[in-house]
Amino acid sequence: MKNAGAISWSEVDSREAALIERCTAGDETACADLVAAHQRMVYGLAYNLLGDGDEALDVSQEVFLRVFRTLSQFRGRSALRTWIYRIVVNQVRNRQRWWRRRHRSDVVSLDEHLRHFGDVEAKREVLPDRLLASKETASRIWDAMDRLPFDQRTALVLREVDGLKYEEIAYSLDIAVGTVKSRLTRARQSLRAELLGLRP
Amino acid sequence: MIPYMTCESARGLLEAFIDGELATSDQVALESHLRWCSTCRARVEDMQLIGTAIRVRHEAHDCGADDIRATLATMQSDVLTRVHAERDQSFPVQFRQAFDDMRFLWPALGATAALIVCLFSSMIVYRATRGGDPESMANVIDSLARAAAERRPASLEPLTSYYPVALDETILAPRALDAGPALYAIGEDEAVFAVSAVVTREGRVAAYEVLPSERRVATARARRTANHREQVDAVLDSVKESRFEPAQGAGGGAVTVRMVWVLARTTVKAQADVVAKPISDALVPRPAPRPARS
Repeated sequence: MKNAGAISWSEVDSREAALIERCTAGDETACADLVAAHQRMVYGLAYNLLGDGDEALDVSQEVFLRVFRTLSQFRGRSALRTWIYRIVVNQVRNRQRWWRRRHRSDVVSLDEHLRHFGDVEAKREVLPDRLLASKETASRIWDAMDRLPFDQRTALVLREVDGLKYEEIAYSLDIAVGTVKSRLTRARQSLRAELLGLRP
Repeated sequence: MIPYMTCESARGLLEAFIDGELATSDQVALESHLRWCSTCRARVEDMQLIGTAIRVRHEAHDCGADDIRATLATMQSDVLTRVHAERDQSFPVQFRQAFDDMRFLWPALGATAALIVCLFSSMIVYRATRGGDPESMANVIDSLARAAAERRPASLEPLTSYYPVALDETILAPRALDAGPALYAIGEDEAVFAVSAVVTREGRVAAYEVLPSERRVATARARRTANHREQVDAVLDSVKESRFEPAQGAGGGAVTVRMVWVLARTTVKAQADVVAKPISDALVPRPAPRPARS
C-alpha cells in the first residue's frame, strides 16, 4: 500500500516557505496574501462539496481561521495547497455531521442551484457542444453527483475540478492511494450508470 | 513493437489513463487498443463527459455569480479581522477553543489513566523492594554502619590529629593481636551486639560504643534492665582490652580507621549420632597387610 503522506519536502518552494514563515510571525500582509491566493480554491471546493453558497462561505472563513491557528504545525510534507484542501475536507465533513444531527438534507436540487447562480443555458459559452446537446444530461449528472456518498464525491471533485493527483487526494483525505482509486471508480460507475440510463 | 492489450486489461487502466496517472508504456499500449476498440473508447468518452459536466458546473458557479465574487472580495478582510481579534482575545476564550475538537478526548483520557496506573504500580513495586526485610543481616549492618558514620568522634581529638578514614579495598583492615572483641563474658546462648570503635594509628581502640539497632531503639526502655547493662559493659570491656595491628593505608603507612563489628553468638543443635558417624570409609583405620611368608 502506498503511503498517503509520501509527498516530498520539495513540494514547498522557497517563496511559499517564506510566506508561511511570515504568517506564523504574525505579518498581516502575508496573511492577506495567503488568503487572496487560496480563497477561490477553498470556496470552490467547499461549494462543490456542500452545494450551498452561504454555507461554503461560512466554512471558507472557518478554514482560514483554522489555517492560521495551525500553520505553525505545517511541516511541509505536502504543498500548502494540498494541506489546505485537507482542512477544507475536514471542515466540510464536520459541517455535514452537524447538518445530519439537525436532519437537514445535504442535497441541493438543480432548481435551487439555478436560482442562486443562473440558468445553465445562460452560460452557453462555457459548455461544450456535446454536453449542451442535452440539458437533461448535464442536470442528471449533477443530480447523481449530489447523491454520491461524501467520500466518493470529495475524491471526484478533487480530481476533476481541482486536478489533484492520486497522491495529493490521498493526503487530503488521509487515506491510501488505493482507496482513492476505488472511490473514483465507484463514483464514476454510478455517474456512468445515470448517463447510460438516459440513452435509448 | 506495441504489445497487444485485451479489453479486460484495458478496462483496468481506463481511469488512470483519463487522470494522466499511467506509466508511458501502458499509455502507449492503451492508446493503441483504443484505436480499434470502440467499446473501450465509448467508456473513455463517457468518463470524459462526466468530468466535463462536473467542471462546467463548477465554472458556471465560479464565473456566474457577481454577488459571490463580491462576497469573496470581503472574505479576506473578514478573515483577517477575525484572526486579529482571536490573537487579542482573552486566555479563557482561547482555553475554551482548545477543547473545540474533542475527537481525541476518550483516547487521551484512556492514555492518561493508563499512565497514572503505570506510575502508581511502579511506585508500589519500588517501595516494596526498596527496604527488603528489616530483620535481615544486610539491613542491620547497613543501618548500624550508617549510624556510626554519622557520629563525629569528639573523643578522638586528644589521641590523634587525624580523623578516621573510610575503610575501602586499598586499606588493609586492622588485625587483632589477641583474641579480639568477643562475647565470652555473656552467659546467654543467643546474643548479638554491634560495636563501633576507632582503631588508631597506634593500634589502640578509642571512641568505642555499642550501637543500638533500629529495632532495639523502638524497645529501648524495655531493654534497659540491669542484665542488659551488664552485658553491654562486658562487651565494651572486651573491646577496650583488645589490641590491634593498625590498619595499613595504600602507601604502607598506618591509618586511623573506624570499624563496626557485629559480635554474634548462637547455638546450633544437632543429634550426636549423626556427628559421630564416620564421613568416609577412608577415615576408618584398617589393619596393616601381613608380610607374605616365603
